[in-house]
Amino acid sequence: MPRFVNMDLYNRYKDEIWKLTNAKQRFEPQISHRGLTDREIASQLGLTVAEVTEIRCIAENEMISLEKYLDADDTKEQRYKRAPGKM
Amino acid sequence: MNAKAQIIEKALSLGARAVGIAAVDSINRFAPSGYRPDNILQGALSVIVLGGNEPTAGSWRSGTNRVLGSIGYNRSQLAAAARRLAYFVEDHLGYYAIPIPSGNRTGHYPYISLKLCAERAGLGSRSMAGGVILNPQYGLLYFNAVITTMPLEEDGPLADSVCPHSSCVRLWEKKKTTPCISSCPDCLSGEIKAGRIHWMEYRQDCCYPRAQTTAMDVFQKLLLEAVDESDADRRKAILFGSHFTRAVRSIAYSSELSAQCFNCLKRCPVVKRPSRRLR
Repeated sequence: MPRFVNMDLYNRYKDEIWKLTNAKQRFEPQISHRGLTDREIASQLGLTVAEVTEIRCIAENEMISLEKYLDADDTKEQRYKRAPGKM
Repeated sequence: MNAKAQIIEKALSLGARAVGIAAVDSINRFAPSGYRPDNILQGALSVIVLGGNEPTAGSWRSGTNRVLGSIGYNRSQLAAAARRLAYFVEDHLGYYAIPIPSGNRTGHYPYISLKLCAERAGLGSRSMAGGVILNPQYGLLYFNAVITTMPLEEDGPLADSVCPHSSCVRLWEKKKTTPCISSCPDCLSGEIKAGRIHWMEYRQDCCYPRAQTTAMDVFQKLLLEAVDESDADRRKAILFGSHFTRAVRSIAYSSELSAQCFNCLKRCPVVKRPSRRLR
């Protein structure tokens, strides 16, 4: 069972780990741009895989504000009726 | 009938709309260690990919995003089909098999990339809409898979990309946008060059609260909000409020678990095409 991660460690690495994940994805045919696995991130930052997994999971939740979820239905209904970038 | 034909026939009879085979070697050329089929099943040689569970044509015409995203589609049936197909492979063909669901392994990371498997199995190609795999016949499909030790002939990627559609290429040439990008310009960006996707970027963190509006993350966030709230009346408002109630229902019944957004695909000509025949 994973241990709870130390929150000082979390605060120190959450932004760096977040940037290395799949949170932002780029696709170009024939070129690899994938986000890194926990193992790859751990190796890059000198952390254990378990530490990276815990920090990533908390960051994935914390980095997206509650308001984004609460506003989502209105945003979706508006965009369903009219595309915001429609010219 | 050879084994591959038996598998395809069985998968279709279980409810899949489209079926394809990818070779593990082919997937492993792109998937990182830890996310390869043979990391899940030792000795795996093939991945059978099942596509289906897409919204009905009528769901796209429901008139509200909520109906389309909550009851217009359902992902549970394809997962059940994949499990039953895994038993079929073991019981009737004599090879090990394990079904792979569309859910996540830890946080937002999956067991394996079903998009990659579907691509290598010839069930579609990446789109400007967040890299969603578009199938030439059905448009949007959800995917489940069965990993097996059985050697099967690979279908391989499609020869031609499904996206961009010719009408999107024309729109890009005129206005430098596509129906998907104009529907969700904060989640999506990209460029079409010489009639093909030159690059595409997708902000999963922007899409996530819209695609997973009432799923597990918001349950956790509202729970934390309630725990941290010192005012008893406000606590009640959070926990008995409509959003937390939907989140609880999602977890209890797997209903509206994702409450998908779909706006990037609602105006996609590849997705709209199959529904044009109906009355």
